[in-house]
Amino acid sequence: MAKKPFLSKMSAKSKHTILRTAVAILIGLGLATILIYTTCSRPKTAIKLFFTAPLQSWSYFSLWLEKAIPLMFTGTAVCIMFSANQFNLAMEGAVMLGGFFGGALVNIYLLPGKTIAGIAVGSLIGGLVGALITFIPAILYKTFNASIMVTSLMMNYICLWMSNYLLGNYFKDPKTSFGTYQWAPNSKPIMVKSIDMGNHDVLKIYYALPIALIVVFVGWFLLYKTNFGYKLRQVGENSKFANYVGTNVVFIALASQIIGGFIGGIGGANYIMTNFTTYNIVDLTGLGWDGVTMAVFSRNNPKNVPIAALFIGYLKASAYIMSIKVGVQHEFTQIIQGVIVVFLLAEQFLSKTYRKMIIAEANSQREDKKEAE
Amino acid sequence: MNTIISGFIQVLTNPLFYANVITCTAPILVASLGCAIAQKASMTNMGMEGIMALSSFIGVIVSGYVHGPNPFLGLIVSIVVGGILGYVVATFNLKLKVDIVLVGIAMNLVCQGIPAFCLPLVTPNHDRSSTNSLITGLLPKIDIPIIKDIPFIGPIVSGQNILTYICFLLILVMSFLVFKTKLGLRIRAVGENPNAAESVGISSNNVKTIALVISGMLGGIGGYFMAAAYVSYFSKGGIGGRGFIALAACSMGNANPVPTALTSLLFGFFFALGNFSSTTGISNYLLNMMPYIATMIGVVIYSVVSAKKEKQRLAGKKE
Repeated sequence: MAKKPFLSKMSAKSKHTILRTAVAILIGLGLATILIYTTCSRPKTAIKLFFTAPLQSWSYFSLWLEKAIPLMFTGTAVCIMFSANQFNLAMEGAVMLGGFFGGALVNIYLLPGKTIAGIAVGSLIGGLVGALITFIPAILYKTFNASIMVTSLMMNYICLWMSNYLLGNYFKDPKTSFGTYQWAPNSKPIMVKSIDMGNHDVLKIYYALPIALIVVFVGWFLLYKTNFGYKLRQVGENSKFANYVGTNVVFIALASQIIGGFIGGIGGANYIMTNFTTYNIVDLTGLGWDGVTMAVFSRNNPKNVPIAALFIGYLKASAYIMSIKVGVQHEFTQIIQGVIVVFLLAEQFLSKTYRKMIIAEANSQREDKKEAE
Repeated sequence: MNTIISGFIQVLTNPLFYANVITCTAPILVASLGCAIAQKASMTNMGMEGIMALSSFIGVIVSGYVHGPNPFLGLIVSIVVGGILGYVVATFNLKLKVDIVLVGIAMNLVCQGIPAFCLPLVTPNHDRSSTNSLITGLLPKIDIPIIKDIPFIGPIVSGQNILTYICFLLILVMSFLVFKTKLGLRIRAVGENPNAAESVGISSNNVKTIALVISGMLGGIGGYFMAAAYVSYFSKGGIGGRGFIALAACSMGNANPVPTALTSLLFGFFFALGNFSSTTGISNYLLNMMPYIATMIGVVIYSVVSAKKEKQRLAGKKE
């Protein structure tokens, strides 16, 4: 029997998944191209920037990584919570307060000037704060059966105003209009090392990158290589079944959210220590919602999160560069993100093609059988 | 402490405060009625925030460009756009089988992205955060003849924006729709048991779509309120989480119009308290936090009470 090419070995279902993903991404990118082309005064320059900007110089390349790293944290966090089918949407709040306590306050008051200890303790404290924030809606659901979606959404805004309140009333540097004291000398973020590449080009080394990759790996290992992860996914797939086979569903559901919040909080702390030297954020960062996008892109498997994060990070970086160079508003990445998400999730999208694929598969199987006989 | 108490008394005896409560309630109220009608058909309209943002943006732009400032036209456009967006949510959920909550999240991303992206393209001065340079106008305020002369009550009830009155009237309209019409009955039937509804010849997909379109239209009104009655321009982030609060209000009110409206009033109260923070002497950050904390507590209380009722109901059945 002749050796079959790689594609025909796959089942129709996974072929269809790949096709759908590709088409969804193409729709997103096509839409982006149309948007830029129809609205920009210099469309050719803009399009070129959109597709190639992060590869044009070291500093743009660094920007790409800078945008992708926080998504790896929140993406992994949401993957773990969604794998257990817990729609906890408090990731925004976890990032915000995790960043405020772990990223800013630890480095200002607890360990000023001690970079490595500051990063380590900051990440830990950020993680604990984040865990607390996702834990509150979780425990309210378990004890009182209060809708987790509603309480976790409210949690985000509570965190926002809490950080504003603490910042405005207790931790404000009187010299600024709304910001904490500087925690880094020379206004250089403590988690970044800049290397001059000549020609005003700077490559930035992000200490958060290895941390993010470790988090992704641990997340994947936890979900797919441990007994706990197996039970967690079981709860996500069918919590009644999990209950009947003796899994402690309540414990797993709570644990998944605490772990998710912990990772989100670490992400928040790292985000602050990578991008800022003073905490002056007055609005939600949007990184939590990006985490949901990441989870959808990576089909709840942390293994795929880095690729998804690099993809969206690339879009975000080039949009940012475009907004500076040709004045296109960078928010248009949100539009693309949303469009790709719905088409990725649309089970019935390209369903006719799927039917054809299944028929083709069945036919080829029948022929194989005949051949064997 | 004494200054805070006297500050509170000052606020609570000020008719302007109550007028502000009503103004703050209106957009949340109408959006929460929108969430409620969708929820009755067991569709969680998570995209309310985005629907409000995009529909109000388009409404404001149209009102600014067509016929000079024409806020009434803007209102109609917002409602139509809201309805269309509701239809889009329904299509993605029912036809393409995307999870309803995730459609909502994607909807929020897209619908908040479009206004931000388009702002500099459609405003005369290429504004980046609001439509300040485009004159779009406010909807008129209405004085109610006899009532406006009643002391204390007059300044609260009269002199509100016309859209505020419409929002409050919608409580009655929606109650009537849900409980007294054929469509309302169908929506409730589909929400409670789609299979049973299907078995008597009701197309659950059609009914759900209609519910979401109505939900979107109400969202359009709520969004437009923020841009043509609350202030006279559209701003990026101007909806400020009211779509999510509406979702919470609907959840606390068990998706029934009147309880949902009462819950929105609670949020309106805390929002107004935030606006009057300088008088109370409490940090406005803390007061801004109040509606959200109140929601969490409210949702918990609601869950406890309904669990108890359910228990009693089951216990009653056994006997």
